[in-house]
Amino acid sequence: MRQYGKGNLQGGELTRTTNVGTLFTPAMVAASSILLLILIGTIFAGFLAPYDPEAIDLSLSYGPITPEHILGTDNVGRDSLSRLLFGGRTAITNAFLVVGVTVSVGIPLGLLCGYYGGALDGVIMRIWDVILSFPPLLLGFLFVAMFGRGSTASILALGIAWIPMISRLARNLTIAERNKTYVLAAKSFGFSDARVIFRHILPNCTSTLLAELTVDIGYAIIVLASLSFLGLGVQAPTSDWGLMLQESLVYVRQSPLQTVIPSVAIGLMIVSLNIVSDSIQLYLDPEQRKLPSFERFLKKHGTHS
Amino acid sequence: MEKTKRQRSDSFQARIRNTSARYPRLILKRLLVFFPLLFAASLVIFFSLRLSGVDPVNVMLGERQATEDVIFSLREQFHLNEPLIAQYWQWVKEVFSGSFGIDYINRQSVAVMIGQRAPITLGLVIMSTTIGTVIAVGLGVLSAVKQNTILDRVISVAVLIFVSAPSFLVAIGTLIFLTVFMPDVAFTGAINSVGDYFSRLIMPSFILALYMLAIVTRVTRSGMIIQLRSAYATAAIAKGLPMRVVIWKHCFRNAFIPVLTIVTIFIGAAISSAVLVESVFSLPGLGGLLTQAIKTNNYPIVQACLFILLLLFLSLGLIADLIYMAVDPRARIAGKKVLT
Repeated sequence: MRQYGKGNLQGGELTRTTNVGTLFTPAMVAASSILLLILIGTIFAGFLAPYDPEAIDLSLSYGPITPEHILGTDNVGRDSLSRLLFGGRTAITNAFLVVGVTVSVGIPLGLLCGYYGGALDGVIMRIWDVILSFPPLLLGFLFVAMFGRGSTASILALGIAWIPMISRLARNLTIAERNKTYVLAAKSFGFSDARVIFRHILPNCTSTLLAELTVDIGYAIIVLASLSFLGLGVQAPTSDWGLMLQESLVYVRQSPLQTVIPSVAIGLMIVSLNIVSDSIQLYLDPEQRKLPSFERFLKKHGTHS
Repeated sequence: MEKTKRQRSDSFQARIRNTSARYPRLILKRLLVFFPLLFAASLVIFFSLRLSGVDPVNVMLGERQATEDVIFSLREQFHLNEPLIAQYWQWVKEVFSGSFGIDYINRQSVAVMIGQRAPITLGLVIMSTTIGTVIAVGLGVLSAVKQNTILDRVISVAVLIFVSAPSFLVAIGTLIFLTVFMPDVAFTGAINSVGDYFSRLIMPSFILALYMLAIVTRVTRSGMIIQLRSAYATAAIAKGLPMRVVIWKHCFRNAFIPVLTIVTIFIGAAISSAVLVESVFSLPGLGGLLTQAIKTNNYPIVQACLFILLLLFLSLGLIADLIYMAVDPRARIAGKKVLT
């Protein structure tokens, strides 16, 4: 009998360990460690930052790199390292809030539309068609004009702008799941529709939704940064990566370093997020999953008997 | 059995032959989607701005004090004392007359302000999409033909880097590079001639183009690989056609269809990124006008800019769809896109 992986054939059923192949490719490891580093840096910004990020000291304007100020100081003498750490906190928290708004409205709506179909589905999907006819950033502009400037407004704006995409995805996944046997079985037990939708169908959609949401967090960071960069998002004096870009770009000729710092931070964050979500997606797709070479497979999992 | 099969294929042939006759009807059908969408979007733009609760009279007056009479006459002049539906109808009439109304602060015609700035944004979007498509298709075809060689790997890695770099970061990077290493290059100031126009726009367009490069190259490469492996390509090579003809005339035409779809998607991204890249390079385009108007609650400009950018987005999509139908006969039969 042929035996794949460490899992044994028990009662004619392959155990889970047969799911060989690895999520931890070198690129994935590198990217996730960078992400972890950024997350730790921003979560513990209060302990790690050497100075108050909003403390102004005009005598230190455009300070060079010194042991006291590892990344120098900006136009009004604020410590760049502290601003970078606290700015990351703002950027990442806001991005998570955007995704939170999207998830809490979009996924339930999508599930309901997919499950019940009919008029509700038709109406909501037509509304989404209109919203999707706007490029996301333009919709962001519209909502910022509507809610006023500031971080709350930009979070709400982007959150609403992205509801259609995630809810369409949830809807399509639900339609695919709706007619499967397990749903029929759950219904025949007499479970309520709510229980079938949220306890049975939703868990089967999560992996795809999660992969999508990782990408969305990356996008949220970029778009929020671009809104703050245009002066429509987070307002001074809060530390934020996008705001740091805007403030430093005016004085780019005097001190290019101050523009480089937030750009590199945003760039690193986005690239690693993209790699992570790409790897997750590749892993979830059995056809593209990165498999160890056959020799290594044999070494790891014993011979095929 | 034999006969039915033949009949079926005959009717299929007939349907293909008939497609050119169906073309006008399909264009009409596509327009029937286009205009309601535009109408709905204009409703969304107009009414969501009115939800903000900012009183236009305060925007017009700024910090100045005014008597009741002045306020009343302003309301009269801008039709603000009418119900919202009437105001919307007023705006629609202004849009069709091409004036787009008068802005709250400078009391200028919005159409004139937009007219001065639109060529920059339009130029950026069109130039970057063209540059991006040409380069990406070239690279994609090259890496498909030289499949699994070092060249292919180099292209795929180089292109992968640009997948994740947001274009406004690349723009800022370029700007830093220029200020540090080439302080003499001017990227600000007025645009006086056509030469100025192109020299100022070419760099931002390249930067915008980088953004779409990655995915379009990937799609072209995978499409071309499938086509090159197919039987008709082998037949074409076997009958001694030069590779150039096989690649461009036979395979590329089939591989180009999905590429076109992707390019349409990227036009939307290009319009949004154009706003940002303009701001980085301080180009006087629609983006600057729009952000300034949002900051000052100058709604006639905001709604006009959003509407025009949206119109640009939707009509470029429409044009791409029409080209799509012209290129791919199957899209004409079904009346929808066929993803291959």
